[in-house]
Amino acid sequence: MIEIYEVREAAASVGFYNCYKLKLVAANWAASSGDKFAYADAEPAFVSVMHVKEYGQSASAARALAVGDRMMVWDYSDCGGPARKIGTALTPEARMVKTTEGVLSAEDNFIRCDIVANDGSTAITSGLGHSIEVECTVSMNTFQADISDGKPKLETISTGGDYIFASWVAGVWGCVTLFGPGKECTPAEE
Amino acid sequence: MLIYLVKVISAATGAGIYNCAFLSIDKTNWGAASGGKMVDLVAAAWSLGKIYAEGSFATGTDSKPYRCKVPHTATNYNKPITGADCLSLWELADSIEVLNLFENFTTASPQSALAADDRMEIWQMTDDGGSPVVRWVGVPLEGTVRRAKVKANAGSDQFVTCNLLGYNGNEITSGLGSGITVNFKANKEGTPTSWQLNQTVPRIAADDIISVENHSGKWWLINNLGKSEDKPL
Repeated sequence: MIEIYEVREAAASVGFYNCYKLKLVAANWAASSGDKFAYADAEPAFVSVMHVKEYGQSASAARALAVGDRMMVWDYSDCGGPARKIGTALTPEARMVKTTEGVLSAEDNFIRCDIVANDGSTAITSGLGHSIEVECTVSMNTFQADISDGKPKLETISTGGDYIFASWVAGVWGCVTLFGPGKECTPAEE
Repeated sequence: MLIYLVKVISAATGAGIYNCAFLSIDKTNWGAASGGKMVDLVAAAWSLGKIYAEGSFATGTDSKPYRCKVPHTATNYNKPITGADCLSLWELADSIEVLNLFENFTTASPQSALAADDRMEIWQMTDDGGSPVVRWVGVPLEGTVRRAKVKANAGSDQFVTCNLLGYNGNEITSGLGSGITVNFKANKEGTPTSWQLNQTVPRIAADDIISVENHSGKWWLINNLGKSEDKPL
């Protein structure tokens, strides 16, 4: 049986999340908007679920999910032990994230962001999904990039409060857009 | 628990709910080198005396497809749809309501995330009603990032109208998946602090193919655009 769970917080183990079980709400089936699910229990208790996409990640890997994300969860037999709960996320491949800082340090290749929650509008300001590092790939175009130390700099891609899109791949959040360096650091203008 | 394949026919009443038709494996195309539809609409004739397992399909006397709900041996008493007992064993397979679980929470006036002919894998889930109803829920086989064709040059707005490309890569020019509104979040850099799609570089134009994604009922352009110093078109 496949059930739906909602992520509430990261568990201690890599790729594991403490979740609440959800129920399908009959009264909301034909509703024109809003939530199709609600907590299954009046006093929900944490259930530990492994997000299978995060298999093999190191302890330093970024988490792929945020508070409020939903997962499809099923029991999977342990070798000789009890069935474990594993699942896959019901989240878009490219997540909308809100930048929380402005112009980047010349040394950074990432920008700090809050993930926009499952409701499609609320940036997560605390807990899982808050203040993630989104790596931004900078074009190596030597006409535009300041690569005096062999490394392109990321400048002025964003101010705080911008919305950009990022995807989680192999423990790293990366911006889906390729950036050029800021115009401020073109060699012709220095 | 059985997992079925369906294809989307149209939007149903309710956000994220679609009218769908079951697909069955088409044995004539199984293993085809290319282009074969290995799953297709049900077209198997009902057969007297055949043992039908749950999840098997047959065509009724009304030429419509039916899904077997309860295992049984075919008799004229349970023949779809003239048999007196047929409805306890069979259900119509070309029009079921399915919730796309990726649309589990949608904002006001949501736009559908799926297009006509999209495929889904679905299963049953019981709701919490006083008289619980077994519903169909599932997830699309298409990725959440879709390609879309722009219908007109970007104007002084923060959205552009597009047609999705379907599962086969063809532009959807009518019905579900056509005429979607793709939104764009303006970068706050520069002055004015909010600017429009006809002030960006690259500049989006008619017939461009762009990458879009539906978030909680709104379509978004997933590229970050920079501000152009050129005058708006």
